[in-house]
Amino acid sequence: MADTQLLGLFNEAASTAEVIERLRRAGLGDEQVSVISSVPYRSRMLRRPEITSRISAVAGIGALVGVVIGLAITFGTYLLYPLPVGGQPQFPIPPTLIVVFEVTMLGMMWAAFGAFLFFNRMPVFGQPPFSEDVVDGSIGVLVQAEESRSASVERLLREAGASAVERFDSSARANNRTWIKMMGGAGAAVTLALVLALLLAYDVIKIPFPTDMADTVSIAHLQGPRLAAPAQAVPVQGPVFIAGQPAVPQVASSPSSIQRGQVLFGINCLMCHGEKGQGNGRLATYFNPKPADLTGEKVRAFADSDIFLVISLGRGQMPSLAENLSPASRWDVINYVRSLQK
Amino acid sequence: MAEQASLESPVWNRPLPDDPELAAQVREIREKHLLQDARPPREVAEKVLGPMARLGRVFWLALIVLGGLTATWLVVWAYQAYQGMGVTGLNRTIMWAPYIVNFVYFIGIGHAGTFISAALRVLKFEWRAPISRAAESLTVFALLVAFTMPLIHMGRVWKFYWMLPFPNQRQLWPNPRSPIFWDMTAIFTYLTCSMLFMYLGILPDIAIAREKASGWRKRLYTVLALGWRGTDREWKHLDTTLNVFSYGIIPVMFSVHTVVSWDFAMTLQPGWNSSIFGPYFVVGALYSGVGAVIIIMAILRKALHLEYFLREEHFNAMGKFLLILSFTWVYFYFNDYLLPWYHKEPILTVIFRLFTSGWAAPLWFTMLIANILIPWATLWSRKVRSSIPALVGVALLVQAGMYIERYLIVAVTLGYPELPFDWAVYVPRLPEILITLGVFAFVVLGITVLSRLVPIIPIWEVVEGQLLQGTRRIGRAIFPAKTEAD
Amino acid sequence: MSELKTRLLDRGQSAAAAPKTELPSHKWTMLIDLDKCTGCNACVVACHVENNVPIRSEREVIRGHGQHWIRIERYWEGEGDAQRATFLPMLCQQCSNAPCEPVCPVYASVHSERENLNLQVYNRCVGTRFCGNNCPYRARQFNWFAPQFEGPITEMLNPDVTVRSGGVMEKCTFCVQRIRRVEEDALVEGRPLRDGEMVPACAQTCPTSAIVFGDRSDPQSQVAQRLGGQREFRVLEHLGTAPNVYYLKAGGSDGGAS
Repeated sequence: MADTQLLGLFNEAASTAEVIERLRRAGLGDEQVSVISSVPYRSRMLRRPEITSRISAVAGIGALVGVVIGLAITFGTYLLYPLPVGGQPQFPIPPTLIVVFEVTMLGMMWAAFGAFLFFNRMPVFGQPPFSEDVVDGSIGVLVQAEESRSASVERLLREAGASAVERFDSSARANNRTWIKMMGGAGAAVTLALVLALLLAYDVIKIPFPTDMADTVSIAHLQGPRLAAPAQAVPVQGPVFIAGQPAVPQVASSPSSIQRGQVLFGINCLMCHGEKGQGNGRLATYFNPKPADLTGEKVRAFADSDIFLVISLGRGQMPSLAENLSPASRWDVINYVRSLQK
Repeated sequence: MAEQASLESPVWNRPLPDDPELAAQVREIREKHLLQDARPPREVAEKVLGPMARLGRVFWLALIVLGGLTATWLVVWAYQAYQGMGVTGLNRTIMWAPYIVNFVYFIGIGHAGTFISAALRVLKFEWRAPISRAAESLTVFALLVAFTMPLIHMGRVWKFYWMLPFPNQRQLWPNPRSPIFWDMTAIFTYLTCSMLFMYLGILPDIAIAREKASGWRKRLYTVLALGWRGTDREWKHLDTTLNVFSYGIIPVMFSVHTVVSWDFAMTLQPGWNSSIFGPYFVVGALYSGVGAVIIIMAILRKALHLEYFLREEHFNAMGKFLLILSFTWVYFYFNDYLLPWYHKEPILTVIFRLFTSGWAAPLWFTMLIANILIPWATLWSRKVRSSIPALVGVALLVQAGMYIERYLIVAVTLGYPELPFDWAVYVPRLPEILITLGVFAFVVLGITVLSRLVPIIPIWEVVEGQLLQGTRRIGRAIFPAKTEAD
Repeated sequence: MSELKTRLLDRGQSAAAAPKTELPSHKWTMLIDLDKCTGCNACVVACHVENNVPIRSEREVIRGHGQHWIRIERYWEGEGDAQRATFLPMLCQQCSNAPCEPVCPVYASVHSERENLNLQVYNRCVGTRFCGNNCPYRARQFNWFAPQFEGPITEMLNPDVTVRSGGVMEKCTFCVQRIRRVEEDALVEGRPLRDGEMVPACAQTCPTSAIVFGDRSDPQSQVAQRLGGQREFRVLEHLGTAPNVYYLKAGGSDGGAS
């Protein structure tokens, strides 16, 4: 039992009201008749029953949702982030009122708009019954009747003074399905976008950014090397760079110094730099870059004071050994390292 | 043509009375009042939709100039973000000046759009019908610009999203006690709801345009119309939703500029922490906004040949509105500045003397002339209000006056904290001047382009109004009569 | 199994034996004797060095982009031969009701109740400069450009203090890095802080000892003993900010600096 939709076009309100009355008398209920126009005609003008729109109720629900969200944002913040600011109480009422008001109104109006789209099943897909004449001022009376009755309904419309009557196939149900699919798709897209935003917010997808202040230009205690004095400068030996240390003169190289240095090297340096100081100690595999080759070109070019600084302050992944070795001991180690370089 | 079994002919075919004197009266009423001058809807639609596609030389020239200025804005902004805020004229005493002045100004002029389309709708002022959508478009673009202003003035603008409440791995959250947070919620609510409100109102007109267009325009309107047909259910839902929005957006409108004023009133800066700032800013917003709407109306009327729609009655009504707002604004301004004159609190006296006899005096007196003297001297006259060039001139002066007023409040007053060692003067530099010009251009560009894409006059509201209005004869006089259908 | 039992039974005793990690509370206060201040600006230089405050050029300072966490405000009083300058060292007053705190939209400016300090979180600051406007003392400084530290100047930088990037607000922190260090030392050694142990850079450098720093909750501290006199005042007290920097009026019947 297929339904047909018949659209009769009329010129103004009075004749439209009359034809609606005639349709009612012919047994076609108000659910089967609807009016299409380019300006809103009030129900009373066309003797139609008042249509109740539930959008106000949905807007009210939206407002309540807004209140809840507003209170959650404000009181949630006060509870989860009890940061004292400006001598204000932990639960300030005025800012809460302001934020809750705005979010309530937001919820109310967005809910109203959403309800508008929902109740009208907008966006409408497919080609529901419509005529261009409506846009030019005609009032359309759309009647949904069974196939068998359609001829008599058409006659009724023409007798009542319709300037034209058009026929359409019933496609309302198909539109519902398409609408659900499309809105479902839109909802999925929005959810996907939100999920993507969350992935970014939770650093699952990392975007490196160059202005982080962790990359600071100030040189920390365990970073090195610090600058050695230029060649022509008044010679300043290592100890003077370190606050609180008395200036200790360099210990001259002697067999006993080298021997002491070897012992100390074995305790403090050997596990990373290796027995012969070639950077191949047992622990060397754990480092990248590897511990320096003390017999290599680079360390040979270091001044003694440079080596003293590296031992005292550390360099890269090498820790400071200032607490392990007294300044004199450090010079002993340096003398031993120089002997390795020969 | 089928025989019409009707009792009355369509409203645009109503005949004149037989009596020549009465007919002359009716003719005059129809000439003066748009809603009495009913034409067939096809003709009304053509008057709006026709000019949209006819792009003349002036349009293209405007597009190039405004587009160039807008591009300048974006380039200078990028330069400023890269180099640092130090390229502006801001200094350690005056940390807010050019962009916040723009921010306050643009949110201000946005208010008029909402007032005209929402508040006047609620109050059933029928003459608002042809103006409301142009006013709403001004609101939308002004708010968009205003939304970017706090971003432009941020030191680390690439981290702006930290001000948004979103869950993140570092468990950080913004501060709801900050007036900037209130700003964000208020302006976001206002912007999105204004856009939705405008979109709802446009829907039936896009449906009309869809039927009459061809080519890419038809495709665009088909998508935008969401399949609107105009069934009685759709109209009922639209009416309810527009009611919800109208009643909802009016308190939001008042709250938005109040919240913006609290950016200043919550501080301890003398001259700013005044409790009158809330209503004072709202009234100032409406004042400058109505002036801006008048200017937009005049430009659109000329550019799109909308003489049928925007008649003397509309400009007259807007002129009256402007005058009333002028009185209201002066009331609040007098309230605010009577105090420092009267009680001589030292720092406030310094600031006040700055305005009356100091280096800011030229600005202050210009503002008084533009905001008070000229509107009060001219707008009482119906001749001035009905003459579009004169009214636009007054409106432009009001814009200048209100911009200066915001500048005085933000940029000048901020240079005078309590400790005299820190007093400073703000001197605008090229980056902020270019950015300001650029954002003005963007607003005008946006409205220009929008007016060519969507009908800028609400066709359905005009036709509906014409349907509901008629004339009434009492004795030998005929008067326009309105029908209250709701 | 027995190991688990041991661990569970020992839990109580282990907790008692564990070192205390809670830091005590303080009321850090600064006292500036204006009678002794000569306006020499040594405190300004010391603060720059200690806190990695960028050194801006003369042109930038004239433009108002100077950054000084402490500055000597100089006021001229009198006319002709009787004209004299009065100096007011102005720095962040570490207000108990700081107006700069509630206005920050991202919680970059918060209060430490334990130490009664106003904290600035550099890497959270997005640069809206609301706090700077709201400070009646204009104590907050903004990095209008990214600071440039080149070459050997980087050796001068204090590794305990962040080097701020452009677009970030900063202000005097009462040398909070020094406060942390002395607190941790005291905690490790299991003793309370001694008065005079914590000295900010400006107080350390002041040649006339015009700047005195201490914990006024300790009645034996120098600040506590010098507070409450007739010469004492706070700047802009009527605004209700409750600053923690006290000034002592300079001598002379005119009362000295404002």
